[in-house]
Amino acid sequence: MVHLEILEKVEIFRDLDDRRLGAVGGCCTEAAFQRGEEIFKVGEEARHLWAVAEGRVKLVSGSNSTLEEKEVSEGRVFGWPSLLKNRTYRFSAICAARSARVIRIDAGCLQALFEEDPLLGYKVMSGLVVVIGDHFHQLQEEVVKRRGQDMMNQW
Amino acid sequence: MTGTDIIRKADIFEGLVEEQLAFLWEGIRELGYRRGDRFFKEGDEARHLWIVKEGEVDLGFELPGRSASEVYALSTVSAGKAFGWSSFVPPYEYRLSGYCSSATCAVFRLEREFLLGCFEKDPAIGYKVMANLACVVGERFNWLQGSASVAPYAQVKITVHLATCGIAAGAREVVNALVEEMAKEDRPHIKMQTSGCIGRCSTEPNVTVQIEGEEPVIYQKMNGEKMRRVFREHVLNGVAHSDWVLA
Repeated sequence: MVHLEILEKVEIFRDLDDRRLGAVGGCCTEAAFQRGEEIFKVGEEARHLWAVAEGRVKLVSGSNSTLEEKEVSEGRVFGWPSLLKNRTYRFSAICAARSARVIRIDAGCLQALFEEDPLLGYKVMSGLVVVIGDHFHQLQEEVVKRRGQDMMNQW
Repeated sequence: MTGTDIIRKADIFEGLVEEQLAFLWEGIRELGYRRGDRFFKEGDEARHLWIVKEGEVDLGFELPGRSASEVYALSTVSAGKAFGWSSFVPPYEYRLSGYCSSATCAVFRLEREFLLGCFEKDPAIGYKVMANLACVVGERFNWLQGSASVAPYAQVKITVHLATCGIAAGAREVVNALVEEMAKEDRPHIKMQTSGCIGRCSTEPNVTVQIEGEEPVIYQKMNGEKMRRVFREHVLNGVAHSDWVLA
């Protein structure tokens, strides 16, 4: 169980009332990591959604490309494949601060809550679409910039 | 076939029951387009979510100094798939332009405000649609992440197998389509060549795509339209079309 004060700062839980936050809290546990420690590895089965309560986490792809590297700060979520059909982490997550506290959210538990309370599911999944969409847009900007530069160089 | 039978196949409506589909059908507008027609331009306010009913839609960025129809496609969306999900992500602005890339396109268009109204009235619809939409965006992310890792200047050799059996099966149409696509892109690192039969006449026309540093991929039973898609999706964006690969 994680305190409501911490959960209400998580980007996808901000619109929830206390009753729903409490229900979500039942699916959550806290974990602490030190700088450089791995939270999960790319390619692993994604059974948890994660949120940063304190510190920073770096997401690193397995392709040695800096294109997809991203830092996640307090209140932000990561590990979103856990709530999709293809449940495989696309990045490794590494603690990027001296220490970080993260919230580990059991995806199966969360989805069972959504089935019982579709309004909760609607609110949280709407927030998750924004999270994934933002992440996508950042990647797309990079790709467009690269491809555009490549094309300009050919003219 | 009723309207709800058609939209039932859409990726974002998976798992909805008949009554919910009928509710959504009320807000759907069907529109027809021809090749090169634009649905929206990058930077436009994203007020609609779209679903491809028939045909193919290219999403890409426009090139300075080129005509508006010469979009540089980053991805292609086919029948049953949704696009325009920026209508649900702030600042609600399309980040790419959307064009009809097949001879004709039939699409369903839904107003974001209509959808939000439906979700308020029946949160179960909202939950299912947003969960499906998250999967759609997640899949596109994975695809883009994969294609972004491809070195843009990798040498590419495309071989059309043009023996008598290949020609009889339509390989000339494949060559013509490939020449047209290559002319549009003007990429000197992509070379085309022809060669003889690979000994699998029943699978002609065959095309081999060889990207530097990767295993060659042999496609089977190709035609002009498939060649165009392989060129855009595999050669330019690095994602092989596994359905058409020779086993």
